[in-house]
Amino acid sequence: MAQTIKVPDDAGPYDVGLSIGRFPFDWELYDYTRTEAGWSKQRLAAGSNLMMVRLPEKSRGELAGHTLVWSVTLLDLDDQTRTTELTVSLLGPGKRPGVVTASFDAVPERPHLFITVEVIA
Amino acid sequence: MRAAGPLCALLCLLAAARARAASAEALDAASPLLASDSFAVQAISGSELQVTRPGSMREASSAMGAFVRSGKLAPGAAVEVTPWDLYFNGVTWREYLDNPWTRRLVNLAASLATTGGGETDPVRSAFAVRLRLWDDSDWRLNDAALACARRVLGPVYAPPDAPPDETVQVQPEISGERRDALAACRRDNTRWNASQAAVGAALTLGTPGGTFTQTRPDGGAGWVSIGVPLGDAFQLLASARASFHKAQSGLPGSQVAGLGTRLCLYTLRRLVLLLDTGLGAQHQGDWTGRALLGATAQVRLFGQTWGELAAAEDVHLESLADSHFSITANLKWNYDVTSSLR
Repeated sequence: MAQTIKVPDDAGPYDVGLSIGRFPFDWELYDYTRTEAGWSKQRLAAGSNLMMVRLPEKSRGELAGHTLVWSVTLLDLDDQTRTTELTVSLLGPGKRPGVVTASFDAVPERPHLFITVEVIA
Repeated sequence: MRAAGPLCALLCLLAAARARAASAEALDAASPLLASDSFAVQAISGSELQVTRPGSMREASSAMGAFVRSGKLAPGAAVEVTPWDLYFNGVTWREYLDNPWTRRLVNLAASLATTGGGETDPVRSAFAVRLRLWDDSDWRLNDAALACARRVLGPVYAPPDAPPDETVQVQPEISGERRDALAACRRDNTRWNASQAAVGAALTLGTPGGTFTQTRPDGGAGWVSIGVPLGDAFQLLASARASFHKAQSGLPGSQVAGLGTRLCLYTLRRLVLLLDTGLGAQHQGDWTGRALLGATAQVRLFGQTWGELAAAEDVHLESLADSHFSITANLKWNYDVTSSLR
């Protein structure tokens, strides 16, 4: 199961960002919502390294239930496997962000990743 | 060689042999030390040890197991870790890029090595830390290497129709061709003679019988090493070391200091020429010294197999108890076919 991240405030705006240890990386962020037919997805942004992305949802009710997925290409030229921690942060207007951390083994041979978090109320 | 009669020459040879044994550390101190070397290994003269460098806490825990055998400290193990990187792991690439002190902290290396432990000798160990002052071979700081990696790896993967079930889903390995191209991004965009510098310190310990409770500190050491490029084909390395040992088991304490340099020529992708020079001095009751002049040629024969031809002139300078001064010179030839570039 993908980890969950709590919407930090009742009202937005909300910003979300991903960092992956001290690796540079390229990413695209997708916002998935469940529909009767399955899932629909919307490409929100693309970039490199840690950048905050403003989400289109304006309130806790709108944002909860969405799933955020980053498609990532890790730029890894190390010569060894490195256990790496990634952090997803969800910020609202308040001071307490929602945060999810996870670890994985970064290896140069497997640079493509999907990072998934489910947003809950 | 000493100019004297045959008997005196014999006595001098014996004295020189003793001095050679006693001043072995002076020779170590006169040998150039790379900024990336494990100083724990160097501090106990264990250059034959293979250093394990774990990339995760799990691997680090496993590697530390090599130091314990049957409840005792085991000789013949060497591990180097970067504790901040392994444990805290919270530095982003941008922070790493922007702040040189963050880089130094993340790359701060701690090493542990053991050797000795014969029937009468204690297990000797060293705990060392190394602070990398700068390292121009760091690929994370290399725009050309990163641009190359981006070209090789291409755009991110298209997203799946439904979100993956796991928080981190690592995709299958890239092709062998792209793996090779990725490795070339680092190799071809990093200067082989990139500028590097590091300082370090070590605490040495003795453990009689390998019994942990009897471990006692017996000395310390410090060093600095700098490597600078000279054009495209040359690199100059220089290192300085100092160490001391406490008096123990009837032996007086000792102090050692030395300076070593290496001029390295790498050309044609298959020829390496090394010219080593160094001076070391050791005080253990008397002063002894070592001067080193060495030349090494390495030629890549095929693949990663290298042939090596080396010659070293090693001069012993000793101040004997009867106030005579002696110089002994040795010439050593070495031929080897190595499996990789040293």
